[in-house]
Amino acid sequence: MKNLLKWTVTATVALSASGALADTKLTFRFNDSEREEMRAALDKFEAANPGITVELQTIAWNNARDQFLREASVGRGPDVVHIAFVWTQEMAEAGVVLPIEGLTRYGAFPNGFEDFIATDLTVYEGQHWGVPWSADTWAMVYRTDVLEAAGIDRLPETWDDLLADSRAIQASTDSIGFAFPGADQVWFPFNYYLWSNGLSIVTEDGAGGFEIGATVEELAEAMDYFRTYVDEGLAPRSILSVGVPHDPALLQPLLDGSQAIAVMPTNTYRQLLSAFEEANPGAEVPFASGVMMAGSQEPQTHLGGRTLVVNSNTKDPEAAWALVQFLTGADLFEEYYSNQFPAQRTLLDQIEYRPEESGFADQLANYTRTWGAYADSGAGVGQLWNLTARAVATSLSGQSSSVQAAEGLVAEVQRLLDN
Amino acid sequence: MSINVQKRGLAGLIENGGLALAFALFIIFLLAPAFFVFKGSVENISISLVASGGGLTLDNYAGLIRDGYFRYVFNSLYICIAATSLACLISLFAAYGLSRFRFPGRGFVFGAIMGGQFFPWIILVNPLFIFFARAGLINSHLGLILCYTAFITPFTIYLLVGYLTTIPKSLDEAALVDGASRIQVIFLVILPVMWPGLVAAATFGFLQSWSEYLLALALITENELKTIPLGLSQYFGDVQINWGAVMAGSVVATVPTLLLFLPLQKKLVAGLTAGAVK
Amino acid sequence: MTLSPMARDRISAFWMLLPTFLLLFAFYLYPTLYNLELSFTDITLLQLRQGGKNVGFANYVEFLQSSSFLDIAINTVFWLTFVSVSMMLILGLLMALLLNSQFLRRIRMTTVARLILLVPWATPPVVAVIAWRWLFDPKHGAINEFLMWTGLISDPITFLADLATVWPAINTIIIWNSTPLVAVALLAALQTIPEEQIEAAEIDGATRWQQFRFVVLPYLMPTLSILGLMSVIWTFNNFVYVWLATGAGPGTYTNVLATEIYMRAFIDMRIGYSSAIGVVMAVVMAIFGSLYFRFFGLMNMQEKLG
Repeated sequence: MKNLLKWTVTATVALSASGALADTKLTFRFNDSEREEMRAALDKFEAANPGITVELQTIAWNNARDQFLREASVGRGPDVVHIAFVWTQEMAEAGVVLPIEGLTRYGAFPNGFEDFIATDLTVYEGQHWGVPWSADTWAMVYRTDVLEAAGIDRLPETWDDLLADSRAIQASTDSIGFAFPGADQVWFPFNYYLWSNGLSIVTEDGAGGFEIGATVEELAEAMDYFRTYVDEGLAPRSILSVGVPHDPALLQPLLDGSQAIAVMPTNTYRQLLSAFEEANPGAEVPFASGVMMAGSQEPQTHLGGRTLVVNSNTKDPEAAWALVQFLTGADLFEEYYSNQFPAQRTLLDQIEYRPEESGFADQLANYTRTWGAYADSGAGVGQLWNLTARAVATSLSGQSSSVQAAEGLVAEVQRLLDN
Repeated sequence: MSINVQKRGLAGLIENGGLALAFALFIIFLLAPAFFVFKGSVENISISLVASGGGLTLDNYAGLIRDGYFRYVFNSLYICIAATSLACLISLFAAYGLSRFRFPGRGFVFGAIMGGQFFPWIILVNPLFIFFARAGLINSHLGLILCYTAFITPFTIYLLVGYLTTIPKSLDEAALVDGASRIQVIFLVILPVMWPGLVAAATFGFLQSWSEYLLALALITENELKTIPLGLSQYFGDVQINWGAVMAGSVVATVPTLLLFLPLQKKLVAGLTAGAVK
Repeated sequence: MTLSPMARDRISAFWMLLPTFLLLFAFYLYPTLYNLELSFTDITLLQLRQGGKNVGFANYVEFLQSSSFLDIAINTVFWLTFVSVSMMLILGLLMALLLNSQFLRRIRMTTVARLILLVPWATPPVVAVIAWRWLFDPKHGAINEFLMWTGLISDPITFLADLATVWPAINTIIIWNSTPLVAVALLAALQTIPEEQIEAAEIDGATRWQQFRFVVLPYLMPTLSILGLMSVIWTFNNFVYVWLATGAGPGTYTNVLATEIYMRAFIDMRIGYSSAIGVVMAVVMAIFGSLYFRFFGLMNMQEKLG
C-alpha cells in the first residue's frame, strides 16, 4: 500500500510537470468536432510564426460558457476562446475578454472589421469585444419523394401552408409531415413563428428600454399553432422529449422517408445528406431545403454563429491576436474549416452551395436577423431561451393551457426585464 | 437462508417455474440495455441509432483508437485507482480510530462524516474550482485524485467501521501486549483480516469516481489529462452526435470495471456480509 | 511525564482521524460555508471577480415563495426519491432472495447471476440513460415492439413524452442503474443468517411468509435501514438521470431540486440563488437524516461504535 502511494505521488508529480517551454505558448479552446482539421491548421500557424506554439483544447458546448467564466475570474483560462455570438456581451460584462479596439493596434483585418457580420452582438459599452468567426442559421428540409407521393408539387411558403401540407401528407401517405424538436430547441421554430408575424419575446420599446414584443394572447396563439401538430397527431407525441433537431428520433424518420418535413441547422442537414448517401449508395438524394415559413410578414430566422474572444488574462495579447487573424483568414475556411460559413461578407459571397443546400443559402443571405434586443436587454439569451422553451413545452404536453403557459412566460420575462 | 425441503409434485413445479420466470426477467431487465449498447457499438450506426446496412463492424472501435480515447481510459483507471487506494488508506485509519478508541465527541465525528454527503455536489463545483485554482491544482491529476478521495471517503469509512466491529478487539490487544505499536497493529494484524471489507469499500469508491463528470469537467481542460466521461462527451456535438463512437466508447467505459471486479466479486460479497450486518 | 492510557488513546485517535478531518474540512466544510455565504448574496457567474451584494434572505424567500416550489418539492420527495428508493429496496430484496435461492444453485447459475448483477452497476449513468432512451423509443424501441407484439397495446407508448409515463420511465432508469448495489448488500446480509434458525422455525411449523417475516427480515433490517438512508441521500441529490433523460421536461413536469439548481446556476448563472437552493436541500437532508437515525439507525450505530 505504501509503495503504491509513493508510486502514485511520483507519477502525479511527473504528469503535472510535463509540458515543454516555448517562447510563447498559446491555448486555443475550440469546441466543434473538426479537431483534426483545426490541429492541421494550427500546425501551419506555428510554422509561420516561429516561437509560438498553440495547444488545442475542446470542451462540450453545453459547459463552455460557464467553464470559461469560472477560469477567467480566477486569472486563468485559454488565450483565445471559441464562444457563441450571444455570449460575447456577457463575457464583456464579466470583464474577462479584451476589447477589439485595443487589439487592432497589433494588426488590422484585410477587409476591415466592418466586413464581419453580426458585429452588433459584440458591442458592450461602446466597444467591440469579439470577432464574429462563423455564421449559421436554420432552414426547412424536405423529403421530396414523400411530398411527391402526397401530390404536393410546390414547397409550402406560410405556416398555414405547412399545416395544410402536413395534414395532406398524413391523409394520403404512411408518412408524417412536419415534425420539430418539442423540448429545448423548440425555442428556434417558436421564435421564427413570432418574428414572421411581427412579434418577438423581447423588443426595444423605442425609449431606450426593452419590452415584451407580444401579448399573452399572441404568445398563446403561437403555442397553439405548434400544439396543433401534437394534438392532431400530425407529429408524433414523442417530440416532447426531443430537445435537438439532430436527435435520432427526428433524423431516422427523415432517412427512411417516414417523415417529410423538418427544420434544422446547416451542418445537421449535411450530416443527414451524407448518412443517406452512405446508406443508399448511388441513389438519387431525395432531399431539398427551403426558406422558413412566412406569416403575416416575411420569413425570418436567427443569424447564429460563433465569436472568437481574447482572454483578458492572456500573457501575450499580440500572439493571441495573430492567432485570431490567422483563424479568420480565407485560407482557413477554404482548406481546414470548410464545413462552416465564415462570418464575413466578402467570404460568404464566395461560397458555392450544393443544389440541395440552396434553401440554406437563400435563408442565410436574405432572411436572417440577429438576437439583437434579446441580447442587448441584459435579460440573458440563455435565460429567455430556457423560460420560453419550457413554457411552449408545458403547453404542448397539456401540462397547462396555452394561455396559462403564455401568462407564466410573460410574468417571468417581465421580471427579467425589470431587473 | 436456504430452502432445504425439496417440494414435490405440482407445487414444486409451480415454484420452480415461477423462479425460472423470475430469473429470466432478471436477466432480461439487467442485460437488455447493456446488450443494446454493445450491439450499437459493433454496427454501422451514424446519426441515427438504426444501423444502416447489415453486418458487424469494428469501425467504431477503430475510430476510438484514432481519437486517442484509450488515453482517457488510462487516465480514468489511474485516477480512480489512486483515489480509491488513498480513500481506503485514510478510511482504514479513521475507522480504526473510531471503532477502537473512546473519546468525547465520537458520535459527533461520525455524524459529521455522514453529514458531508447531505450537500448536493453540483453546487460545490464553483467553490471547489476556486479553491483548486488558488492551490494551483487545475489541470492536474493530483487535484482530481484528492477530490475523488474526498468524494468517496465518507461511505468507505462507514463500511470499514462496520467491518472492524466484527473483528474482536482481543486480536489487537494481544499484539499490543507483545509490544507492537498501533501502526504495526493496523498493518500487520488488522489489514490481513480486513481485505474483504476493503474490497467492498474499494468497489463502491471506484465505481463512484469512475463516472463522475462535473468536477472533472471543471478541473481538467487539457486533452491529454481528460477522463472517460469527458472523452465520451466529446462525441456529443452541437449539431450532431457520433452514435457509433458513443456506443463503442460506452462499452469501453464499462468493460474495465467489469474486468477489474470479476475476480473481486466473491470477496466483495464476503466483505459486505461481515461489514454491513454484524 | 507519563500519559494515562485514556489520554494516549485520545492522542492516537486524533492522529488517525486527522487525514479525514483535513479532507472533510477542505472538501466539505470549506465549500459548504463558502456556499452558505454566497446564498445571502446576489452574485452571478458574471460577477465572480467583483463579488455580489448582500441581499439577506431574499434568495430563500424568492425560492420558497416561487410558484413552482411546491411542484418541485413533490417531484423530488415523492417521484424521484420515494418511488425510486422504495422500488430499489423491494426489487433489490427480491433479487437477493432469488440469487440466494436453491433454485439457482441447482441449475448452477449463482455465479452467472452475480456477474449479471455487476453489469448495470458498472455502467456509467450517462450510458444507462442513452440505452434506456432508445429502448423507450416509440418507433424503434424494443419495449414498444414487445408490447405491440403481445397485443397489450395497439399504439406505441411515448414513455418520455407522456405525462402519465414519464416519471415511471425515469424511475426505471434509476432503478436499473442503482438496484444491483442494494441487491449485493442484501445478498451478503442474507448469507449471514444461520441455517439452523430457519430450520428451527420450519420445524416449529412456521409458514414460508412467517419464516421470512420473523427470522429473515430482522437480520436484514440493519442493512436495509442503512441502504435506505444512503439511497435517499444519493437519489435526492442526483441530477444526472432526470437531466439526461428528460431535461426536467416535458416543460417543467419532471423538474426536481437538483435540476432546478443546475438550471439556475448553469443556465441563468445565478450562483447566489442556486446556492440558497443547495442550502435548503442540505437542511432537508440533515433533518431527514437525524430523524431517520432516531427511528432506525441510532441503536445500530451505537452498537457499532460501542
